[in-house]
Amino acid sequence: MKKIIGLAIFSIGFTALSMQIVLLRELIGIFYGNELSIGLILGIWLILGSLGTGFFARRINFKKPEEDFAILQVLLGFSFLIGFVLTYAIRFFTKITPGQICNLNILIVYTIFTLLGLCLVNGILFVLAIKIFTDDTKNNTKGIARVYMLESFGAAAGGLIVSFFLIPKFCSLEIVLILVLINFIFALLIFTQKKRIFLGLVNLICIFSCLFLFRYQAKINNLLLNLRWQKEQVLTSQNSVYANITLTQTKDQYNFFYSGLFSYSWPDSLTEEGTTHFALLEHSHPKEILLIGTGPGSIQEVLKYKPQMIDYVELDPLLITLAQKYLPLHEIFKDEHLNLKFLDGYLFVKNTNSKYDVIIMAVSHPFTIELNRFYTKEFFKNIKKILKKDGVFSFGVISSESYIGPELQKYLSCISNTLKSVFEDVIFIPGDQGYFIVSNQKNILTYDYSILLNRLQERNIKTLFVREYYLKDKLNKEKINYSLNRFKENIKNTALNYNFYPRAYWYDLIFWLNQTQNRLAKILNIISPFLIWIIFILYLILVFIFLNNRYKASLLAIGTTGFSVICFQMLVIFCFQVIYGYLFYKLGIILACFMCGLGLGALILAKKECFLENYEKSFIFTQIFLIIFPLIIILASFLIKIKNQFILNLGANFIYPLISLIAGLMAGLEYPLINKIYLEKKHSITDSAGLTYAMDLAGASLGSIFCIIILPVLGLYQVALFLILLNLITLINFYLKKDKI
Amino acid sequence: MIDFFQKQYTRREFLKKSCLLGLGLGISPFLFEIFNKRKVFASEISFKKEALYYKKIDTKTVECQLCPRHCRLTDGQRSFCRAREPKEGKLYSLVYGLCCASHIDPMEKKPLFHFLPGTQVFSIATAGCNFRCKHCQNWQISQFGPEETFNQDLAPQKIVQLTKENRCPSLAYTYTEPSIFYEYMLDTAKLAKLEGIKNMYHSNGSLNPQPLEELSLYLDAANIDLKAFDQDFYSQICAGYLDTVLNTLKTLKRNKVWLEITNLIIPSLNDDFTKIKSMCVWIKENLSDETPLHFSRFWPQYQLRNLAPTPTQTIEKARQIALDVGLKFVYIGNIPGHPAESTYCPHCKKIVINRIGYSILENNLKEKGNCKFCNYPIPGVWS
Repeated sequence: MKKIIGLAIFSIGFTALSMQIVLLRELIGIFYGNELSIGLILGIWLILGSLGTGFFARRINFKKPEEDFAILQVLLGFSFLIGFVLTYAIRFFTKITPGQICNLNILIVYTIFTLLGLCLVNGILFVLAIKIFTDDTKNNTKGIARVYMLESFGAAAGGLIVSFFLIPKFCSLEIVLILVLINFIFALLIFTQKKRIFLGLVNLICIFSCLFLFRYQAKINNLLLNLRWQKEQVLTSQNSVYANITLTQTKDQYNFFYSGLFSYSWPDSLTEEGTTHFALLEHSHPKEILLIGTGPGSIQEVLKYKPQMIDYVELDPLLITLAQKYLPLHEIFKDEHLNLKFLDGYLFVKNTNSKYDVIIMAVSHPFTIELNRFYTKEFFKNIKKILKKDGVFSFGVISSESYIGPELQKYLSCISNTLKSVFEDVIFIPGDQGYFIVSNQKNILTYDYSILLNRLQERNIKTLFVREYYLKDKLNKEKINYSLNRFKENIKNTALNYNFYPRAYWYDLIFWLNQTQNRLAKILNIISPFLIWIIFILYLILVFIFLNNRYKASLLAIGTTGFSVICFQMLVIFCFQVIYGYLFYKLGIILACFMCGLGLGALILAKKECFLENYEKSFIFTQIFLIIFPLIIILASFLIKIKNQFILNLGANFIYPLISLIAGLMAGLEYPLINKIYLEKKHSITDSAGLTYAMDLAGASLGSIFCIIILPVLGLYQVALFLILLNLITLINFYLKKDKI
Repeated sequence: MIDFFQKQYTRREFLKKSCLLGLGLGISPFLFEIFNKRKVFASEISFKKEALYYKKIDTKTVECQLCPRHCRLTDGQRSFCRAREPKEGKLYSLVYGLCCASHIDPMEKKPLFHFLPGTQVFSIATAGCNFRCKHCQNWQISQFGPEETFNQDLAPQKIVQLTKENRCPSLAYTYTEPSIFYEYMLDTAKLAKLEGIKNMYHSNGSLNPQPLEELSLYLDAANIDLKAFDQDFYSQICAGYLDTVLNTLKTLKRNKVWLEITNLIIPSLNDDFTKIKSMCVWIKENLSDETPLHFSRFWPQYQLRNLAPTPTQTIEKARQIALDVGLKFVYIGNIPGHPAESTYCPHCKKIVINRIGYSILENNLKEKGNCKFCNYPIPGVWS
């Protein structure tokens, strides 16, 4: 019997993490997918999970644990389905305007609504599993460790299989149905073992209805898409390893939504011409051109200049596949001068040996840390290296023609200052979509519209927008001076933007919040490194005063471990993202390795007696490791400086997963150790497991939100220092109070 | 964690801890104060200019009479538009002389196509707005109070002086909703009129009849946003009232202010052609078939950033509907290079003003605004 339950626990770990990945992708698709949103979603997930284990599980009295376990597992399957459908029904329930980006209040409420059932059931199952495995005797830390291990290994397997096998092959609905089926089948196994015929039959019906849904998934998928997009006519909605891409049609216009966010439409000559022609006209003879993520319409514009070579870099091949399939643009993709390159723009710029006359970039504004990499000093330096002597680099930014407010000012002057720290000459063309154009040499760029106009006529280029009538208005001196003065006013207040100190991302975040929740924007505006360190000192004082015995100190340790480990995990993901970019693609491996580490930690405890016997020493040992760990992350971040492809691959496929595994290992070791210390007091095992697990998760959820907020404020190095000090305090506090009972 | 509070403390221990806790908690508000004081804003608001249209309800409460919202306010409460606040029983305009945006724009950008074509117009705005449009283009000033924006101190005299210095024949009150800086606009308009400068305003039309009548005395032209012909749209997307806007249109027409109308078509929100048709019929019946109507293309903005731009075909269809209803001057905005940017003579169908974007390529109007080819009088203010 225990074997089946063990397998069932493994399956729960497997399906729950898989579901987490699938649902996270769906939720990112309906909300604004920046790190703050993702952090909030994960935080809510963890809090609800801790509610399930810490609050509900302790209050429910299970009379027949095995059967209850199976019933709960069926419920878990249903909660997957409900959660999934709810992500599509957001407009139906919240009545938000089509095309409106949800603010964080809606995100929080709706995410709780979506995840509530799933997380509670999952949390209760965890405690129940421990109960089945331990028979509620005091010295059964191994039981806890085994459950922890099985769940973690399941989760690791889930992370890998979903990311690499299920997502590229199946649509989200199919994946969810597979996960639900797995849960139903394990429940059925338990029912048959226990000879519960009625429950087994009910379960069988569930399984068949699930298969029925599977049979008609295409139709259901269409229904769901209509529910989400309502009035939009969806042509196709496909998953690539990077994101979901939805293509809609309104009349003769095609609209691309990347991860649920509008990215561009076709035809749209206004944007396409603005993106390309300003830069191309600023250069006297553009022949070799690099385009980074500009979209197919811009290629068409660049081809008008009859260049010798266009390199077009795009991360996601699916975007181009869809463009080729649906847009009438077959000719441009056949052009012999065009080279399509499907890889991350940052890596291409860093590694290429070609040199260009003009580089045009049109990636989204830095609303995620991944995108922030395209606006950093390091990136601009790499661009400088691949520009020819008289080369020109240009990209668009959100701006405003008539008024630049304090938040927009900070954002734009941060980018402007970063550019100025690298390039000789920087000019700005104002507008609601502004353009920065930079060059390595002085006296190449000009605001004089007659020169640009001459070039346009000499080259005999036909345009709708960038021509005599608009150039004059766009290059209006008064407006240019207005923008430039606004950037200048703020020169002292804004830091430069670096890879590991993403300031532009931070200013963009505040600018965005200003549009949806300006109170929160005001609070974030106050946060500064000084404030964070003051709060830290206050925390320190409180810790030393109030946590005055070994149990409390150990509870704090589990809390800070949860906190630190999630921060480590986020720092690892952050560094990985900065260096490699393709986050969602490899996120599965990193998460899986983390889970593997958790399981491994528990396994070590289960097998190695000495570890548990000297639990106090073991605990201190793991705590010391937590203190060292941030240094390892910083070391690994230096991979960004390396050009060697072999070492880079080694980093992505070995070093980062390994670091993630070690982080998990620490958490996995520490958890049962603390339980042991905590169990010295007369708590029952479910009680203790519930409370410590709840502390762990509460620490983790706090950490996930905290880390996202302080990372752009402090930068990687200060956050690492923060974590080192935090764990040092926990250790010292425990050491001082370990003899107090 | 719960046993924190269950433990019996000795008296000394208890005192020690409470003191420390108090100290810790006591410091934090001061810290927040310190950080809050780092003001990034350029100007302090002041209670200098008393509002023109309001009534006293009792000693403490006043009611603003400027727009249909009729905000009832007591000391310390800010009006819905964020530009007005009472103090000691009097209502004040907080934005008087606090200009947050001043630029020189082409007249075609306002857009006014039948009013001094090809000239430059000096345009000003202050912070605040009595609407909450989710697609606002100027949300950085319209959705904030004057204490949150960068402002310049520009008295009405100074504005008129700048207009003259920059050789602009007209002055525009625009970008945000000008009615919320009514007193500022009125004083400036009076001065401008004395100096021979023409006044125009671009408004959402949400102004009560009485102040509107007074303003009309000084206005030469107006462009009113008729955002949709549908109260639901006004309630859900803009937080405004359709009735008042329609009244404003009629009043302006009656007072012989040159009037043009802008309708921004947003996909899936107000692109219903039957409603567009009834709007056009209303314009024809209540105003005139010679009122220029601009159909403008929506661009993802502010809170509606996740909506794709309006397809050209939708706007072309709307224009065709308006022409079929019998409106004579229907334009398309925000689509550069579109033939419907030009003015066509309703009689001989030839191009009388050929426009691309904000530039005028040719002007085939005689001095008093008659068509060069067939002498048909094109309505408008031409000199």
